[in-house]
Amino acid sequence: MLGIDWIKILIHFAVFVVLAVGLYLLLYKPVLRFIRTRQENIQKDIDQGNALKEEGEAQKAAYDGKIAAIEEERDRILAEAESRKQEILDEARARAKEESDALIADAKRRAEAAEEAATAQLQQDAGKIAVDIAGEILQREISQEENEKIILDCLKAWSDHD
Amino acid sequence: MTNIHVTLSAPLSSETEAALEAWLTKRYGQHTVVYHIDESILGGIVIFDGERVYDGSIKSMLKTLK
Repeated sequence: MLGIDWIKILIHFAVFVVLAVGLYLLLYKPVLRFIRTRQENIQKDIDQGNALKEEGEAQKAAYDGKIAAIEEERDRILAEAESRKQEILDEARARAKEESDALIADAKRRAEAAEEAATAQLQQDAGKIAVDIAGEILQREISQEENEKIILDCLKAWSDHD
Repeated sequence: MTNIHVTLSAPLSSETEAALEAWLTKRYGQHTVVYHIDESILGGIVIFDGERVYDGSIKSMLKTLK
């Protein structure tokens, strides 16, 4: 008929089937197993990487939170320090003003006291000078009669007193 | 008898001296008087009876004024 050798074709088919089965058993399965193992390893690495990434992100979030808390604490401390600084400055200004007012008042009081003392001293000195002058005038001017009248007045006064 | 010291700036007239003697006799009875002249008292009289001083000098009056 067409010169087809069905026996050869059958033999070739049989060889092909045997080869295919052999290849399937000897090559395909190990390769497939290798590929699956490799895929599993890659997946495991991917999972591990994802886990590490998530852990890193969690740690980053935690650090970010800590940094935010630290920055907030820093800002609070700075604000508190600024407030305290202002309080100290205000207190120092108030104290300095109080002390300067006291010094001014004390100086004024001392000046007034010195003025009063000087005035009193002046009056006292003037009084002493006046009395000294009066004494000198009396010593020169007092007459015998006036002197004896003073003596008699004294005697009378001492008698009245006793 | 009381011994009395009388200090004056100048001697007294006899009338005033008599008045002083009368005053001393009335006060002390029998007594002796020693007169001292001291111009620094300026005038008036100072009587010291041994215990007490009666100071009627112009000097002490001026001192009181001072």
